[in-house]
Amino acid sequence: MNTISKGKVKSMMEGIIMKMYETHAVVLSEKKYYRIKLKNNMKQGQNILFTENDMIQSQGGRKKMKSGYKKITAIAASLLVLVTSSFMMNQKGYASAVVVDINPSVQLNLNDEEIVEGFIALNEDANSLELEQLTGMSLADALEYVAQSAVDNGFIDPEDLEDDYIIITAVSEKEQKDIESIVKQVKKESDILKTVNIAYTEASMDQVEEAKEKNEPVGLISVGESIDDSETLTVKSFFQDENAKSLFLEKGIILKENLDHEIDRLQNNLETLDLTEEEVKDLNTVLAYTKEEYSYLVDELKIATEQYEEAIESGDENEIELALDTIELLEDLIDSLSDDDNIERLKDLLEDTEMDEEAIEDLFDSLEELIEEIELDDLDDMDEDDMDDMDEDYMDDMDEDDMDDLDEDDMDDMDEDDMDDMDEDDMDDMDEDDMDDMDEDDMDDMDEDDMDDMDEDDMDDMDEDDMDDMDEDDMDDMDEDDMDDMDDLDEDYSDEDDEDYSDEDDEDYSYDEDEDYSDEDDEDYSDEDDEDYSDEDDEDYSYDEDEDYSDEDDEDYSYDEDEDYSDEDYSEDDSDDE
Amino acid sequence: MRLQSNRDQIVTEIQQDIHSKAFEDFVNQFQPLILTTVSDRLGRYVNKNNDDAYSVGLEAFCEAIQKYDIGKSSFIAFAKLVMTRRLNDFIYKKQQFVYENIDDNPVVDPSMAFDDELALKEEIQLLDQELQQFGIEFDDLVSESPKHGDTRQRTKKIAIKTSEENDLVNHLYKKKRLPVTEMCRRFMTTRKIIYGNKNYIISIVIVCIKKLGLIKTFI
Repeated sequence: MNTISKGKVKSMMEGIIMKMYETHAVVLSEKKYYRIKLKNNMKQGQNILFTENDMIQSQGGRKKMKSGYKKITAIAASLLVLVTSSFMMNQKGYASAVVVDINPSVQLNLNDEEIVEGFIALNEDANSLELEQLTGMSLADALEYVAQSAVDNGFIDPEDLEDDYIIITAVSEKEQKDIESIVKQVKKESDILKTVNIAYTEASMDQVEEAKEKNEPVGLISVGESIDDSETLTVKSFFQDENAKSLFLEKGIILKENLDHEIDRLQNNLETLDLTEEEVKDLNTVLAYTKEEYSYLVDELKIATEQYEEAIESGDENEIELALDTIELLEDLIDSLSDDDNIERLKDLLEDTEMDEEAIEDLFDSLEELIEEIELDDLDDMDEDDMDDMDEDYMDDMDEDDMDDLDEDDMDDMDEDDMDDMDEDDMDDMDEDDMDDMDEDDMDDMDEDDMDDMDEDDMDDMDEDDMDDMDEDDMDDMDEDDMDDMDDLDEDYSDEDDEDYSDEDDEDYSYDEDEDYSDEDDEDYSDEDDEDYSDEDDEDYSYDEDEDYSDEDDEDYSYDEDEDYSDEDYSEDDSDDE
Repeated sequence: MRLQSNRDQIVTEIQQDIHSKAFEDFVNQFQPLILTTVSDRLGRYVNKNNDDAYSVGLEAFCEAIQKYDIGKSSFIAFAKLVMTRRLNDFIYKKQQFVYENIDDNPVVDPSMAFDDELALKEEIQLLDQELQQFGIEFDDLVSESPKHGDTRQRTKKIAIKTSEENDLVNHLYKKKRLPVTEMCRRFMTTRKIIYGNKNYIISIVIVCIKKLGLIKTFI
């Protein structure tokens, strides 16, 4: 009876409507926010009564992805793959041409099969490369060769801090998608092209001529029109300018340098900065994590691509769709990882050592948060087996969700702070010894919710000291008045007492003392744990739930029809009353 | 022949004396049922203060206890039936009242009754605006409030202490995030508890520094 009443009362809550959304409203009630169903006449600030029936249960677990932001990236990315109109008159004896601008600029003339038939060195620098070998190469090989020669001749250095760009411009009147896909493919596969950024765009033959005259990279000519003409454009200076970069993106696409290479580059150059050891360590943690995440995603992408190919072979449309979705998702994830703000800022920091102190502090603040997140994420990913391997230190970092994964053995390793995070379900997993580790706050939970439900036998088992332990208000008394009793129990009490006080800062009055309370704890809490929690829960819910109501709903109608309490009876009664 | 539940038996016991403690307890126990019935029938939430419909439901429930006959049906079904009927009457009468007394506008100053609600609404809107500066929606707070009563209590203490330290509040507003490290150091607490509940903490800090007294009673 008592339990029932408790459960019932508990399920009615008073709250204020904070805000109404399209599908639900949010109320604030007893320090917590809840989602509730929408009903008529709801107003912000209205003080209402509601029950558990009105609540909308949220899905458990934390959000794995910030999906909204990623979707936007995806849309943005797909918009960028717009082909610029550029067709050239082809009377020059080749099907199409590709211009490579690093700083040496080379024009590759291609035949129908995208094989290099000829080349033109577009500037002085290009003459210093040994281009003769290009003839007869496939486009992919030729691109790699040009890039490699540029590195060998010192035009670019993929290992230094500067971001390197290669502009590849397709000049063709036929289907240019072929060239684009070759470029994309070779970017993925070539060891040298992985380490640089490739800017891909398309241009007309006229623009190639114009570029030759101006001695500027052809890929930048179409973009360059809207940029200050006074300076000669170079690839390097162009892409250092964020505005120019975004202008370029209106017409072309940028295939970014592989993130793991970028990170290596950053890591190798960390020592050029004036940082403390700890800061370097933090940075390395974040960078290593990002890299790990990246390589994981890349691996996944590889698998997904294989699956896609298999699906194509098998011809199963659902499979193809699924594989494509996965690939898209993974690509988005990789993109957003590469766009990571912290890495950008770190790069700024490395390139510009004059950065003001506040910016540096800001960066490290957000890095710290990131590290925190990384640690939490790691914990979320752990399964029960992993938990078994954990040592006590790790436990400190766990959050409430993680606790749910713990099994009984792990509980033994937990310390007091961790206990605070446990919820009631977790309590059930605890064994008697663990109870000894519980601190006052935890005890309170058990008290308030469950003490009433303890049966008389449990009560009898408890002695007075024990009661004191469990009541927060009595806590002080225990420290002072009950000292004597405690001393009897354990000579070492004074030691533990010290511990207690040291813990007070955290408001944890620790009950570590196995010896002190082992007896009481064993009896009382184990009973409480096993029996009463479940009792209470069961009754509460079964009572609250629709069982009752649904029963009666059914009977309701039969009642109307079959029994004596007919409508007339009622209206008579009414009139009497009134 | 229906199965008589324990509850039905209790009703027959208490219906004799409506002033007994047992009667009162029983009614209190069933408040959520009354609430649900009223709310369902009216299609709106029951106001906490002075909701006529709730009084009607409560009255009907007491009436149901007194008139219940254990042979006939289960008590709950009966009580719901009685309550629904009374609520129907109530709604009908209210409609009539509105039509018949169209000139008879209420003389009482309505601002008195709405004062509190209006003030509360203003506070909520202010809190909403402030939270949006930090990119927090009330909706986010549903999942980000600490689940554990204990953690909630501790988090609240930390937030209140934070709101009392000007430099921390300045940092919060300037950087749009909590000075986690500094808070850990100053309040001798773990990063986990602050970091895991940062939005909840920010919401309480705002309530404290903006002196949103009405909301404060709920946090």
